Amino acid sequence: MARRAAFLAGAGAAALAAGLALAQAPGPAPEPHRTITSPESGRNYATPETLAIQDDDFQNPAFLWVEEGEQAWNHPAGSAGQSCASCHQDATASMRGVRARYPAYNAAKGRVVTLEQQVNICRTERMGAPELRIDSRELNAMTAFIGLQSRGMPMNVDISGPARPFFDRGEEFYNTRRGQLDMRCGSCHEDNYGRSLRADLLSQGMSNGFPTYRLKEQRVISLQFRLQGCVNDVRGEPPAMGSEEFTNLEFYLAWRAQGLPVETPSVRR
Amino acid sequence: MSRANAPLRVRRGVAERRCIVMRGLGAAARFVLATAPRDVIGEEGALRGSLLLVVAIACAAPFTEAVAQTAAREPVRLVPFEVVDQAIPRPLTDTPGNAERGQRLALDRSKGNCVTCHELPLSADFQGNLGPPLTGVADRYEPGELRLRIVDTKRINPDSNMPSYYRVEGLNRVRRDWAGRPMLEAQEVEDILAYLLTLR
Ligand code: HEC
Ligand code: HEC
Ligand code: HEC
Repeated sequence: MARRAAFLAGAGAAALAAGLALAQAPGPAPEPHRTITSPESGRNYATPETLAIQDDDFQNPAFLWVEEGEQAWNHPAGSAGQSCASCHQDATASMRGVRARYPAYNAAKGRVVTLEQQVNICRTERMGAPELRIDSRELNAMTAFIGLQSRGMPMNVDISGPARPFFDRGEEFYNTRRGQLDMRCGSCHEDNYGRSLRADLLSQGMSNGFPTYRLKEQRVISLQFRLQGCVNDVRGEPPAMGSEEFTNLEFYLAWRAQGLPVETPSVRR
Repeated sequence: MSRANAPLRVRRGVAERRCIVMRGLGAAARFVLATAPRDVIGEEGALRGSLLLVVAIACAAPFTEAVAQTAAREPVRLVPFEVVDQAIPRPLTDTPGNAERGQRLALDRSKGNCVTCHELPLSADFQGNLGPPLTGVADRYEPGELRLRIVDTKRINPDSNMPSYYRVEGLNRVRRDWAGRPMLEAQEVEDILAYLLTLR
């Protein structure tokens, strides 16, 4: 009798579990909700002086980086004796639209990779060249050069299918309060854009201009360097640049900016 | 029961012990000063002020997240206080607040830094507006209500974007140089309150 009851209970639980699995498995995840439905580029929050520098390629200091990136593109590096151009030829054609699609899911790696990481994958796995440090001058030069090939194209990352769990983790990071100041990213960039934080006019924190020439740093910075700054500012413990957490966050940020034109290399205060 | 006073379980880790060994390394200090971000909330003052802290951050950098989280220092014991009707009626200390000192603390980036989010009736190169102007705030609130707003305004509005200045608990991934410490000392809360009470 008791054994029969246990059997029935077990079967019931199994059926319930199967039902749950069925309810969860099929069909694409629902389209996530965008808090800011019509995003605005950070350029809308920059001063006219800053924009004048961005809008003139001869004045924009980031073009020094772009030139360095172009040279590196054509220059053999690593034990295989190849350059980027050996495989990808003319970047203006082969890299057009790439920045707009990144970060992107990389099937071989089974995870989302940033543009920086993809460059390093080619260097280490195809060229026999060492990895470049995230936010190093060489890597920022390369991503500035590659990014420029997508200038004006709308941000268009693919968060579907296997990419989705990484997106979800990025979204969660974005919406989690952190640091001694106990703020979410959205505390500043969703609740308060257009308002001032002392001397800073808060933008929506869009990523479409990166890598960017930061006047304060007097150099081109990568997105994740900026993100470390934002986490530090709320007295939070910032993840490392190139970490999975920041990669997922960068992926989420790219989707937040979906539709905005790529502005690489932008100029910011 | 004041949630600020419940004990926090924190372990002193390897990283911290190594940091103690490193203390006094001027090179590390210079490295951090050169690389530390110093915009928005502005840590510049805090960093300049304390070599000890600087070394602590320098030590933190090479260690992994997991180590960093377990290695935070013992949380500071907060002065007990009682919240009654969305106010803290009794002062946190016996020494009356000093309004002049309070005004300085309200401007100091490493302390109150209230001016980052609030307009104050004084001259400062830049004033923020995430929160309402504080002019006339003493007419709008009782002293005890203002004290709670400084100590832990989230007890009034859990969704507030204003930081809790006298709380060490329930926070997520605090930078290790600040972990376990409140943003202001008890006396500093009283000083800033004394300054707010001059804003009529
Ligand atoms: C030996 C050939 C080879 C070399 C050299 C090479 N790559 Fe690649 N690269 C590939 C292949 C193949 C792919 C596509 C498959 C993949 O994702 O790995 C690729 C993909 C990429 C992508 C992603 C493009 C997309 O549409 O998603 C970027 C960006 C890239 N490479 C940049 C570089 C850069 C920068 C260099 C030089 C530092 C470089 N590659 C050198 C073969 C190469
Ligand atoms: C305390 C307020 C604050 C918080 C919280 C904050 N930021 Fe920022 N952030 C700023 C300020 C100030 C700037 C520079 C001015 C601007 O563009 O808003 C900035 C800039 C940015 C930019 C560059 C925008 C551009 O156009 O160049 C991005 C991207 C960004 N933040 C993302 C984030 C992310 C992601 C988080 C959460 C991890 C975050 N921020 C949290 C204040 C904040
Ligand atoms: C990061 C931004 C920020 C900082 C820094 C900040 N506040 Fe606030 N404050 C706010 C916001 C936002 C409000 C609006 C109420 C709310 O959202 O809780 C507020 C409300 C207040 C109020 C109530 C005002 C009213 O008229 O209702 C007082 C008083 C106050 N803050 C005092 C201070 C003091 C004193 C400091 C410095 C020790 C300070 N704030 C620092 C954001 C901030």
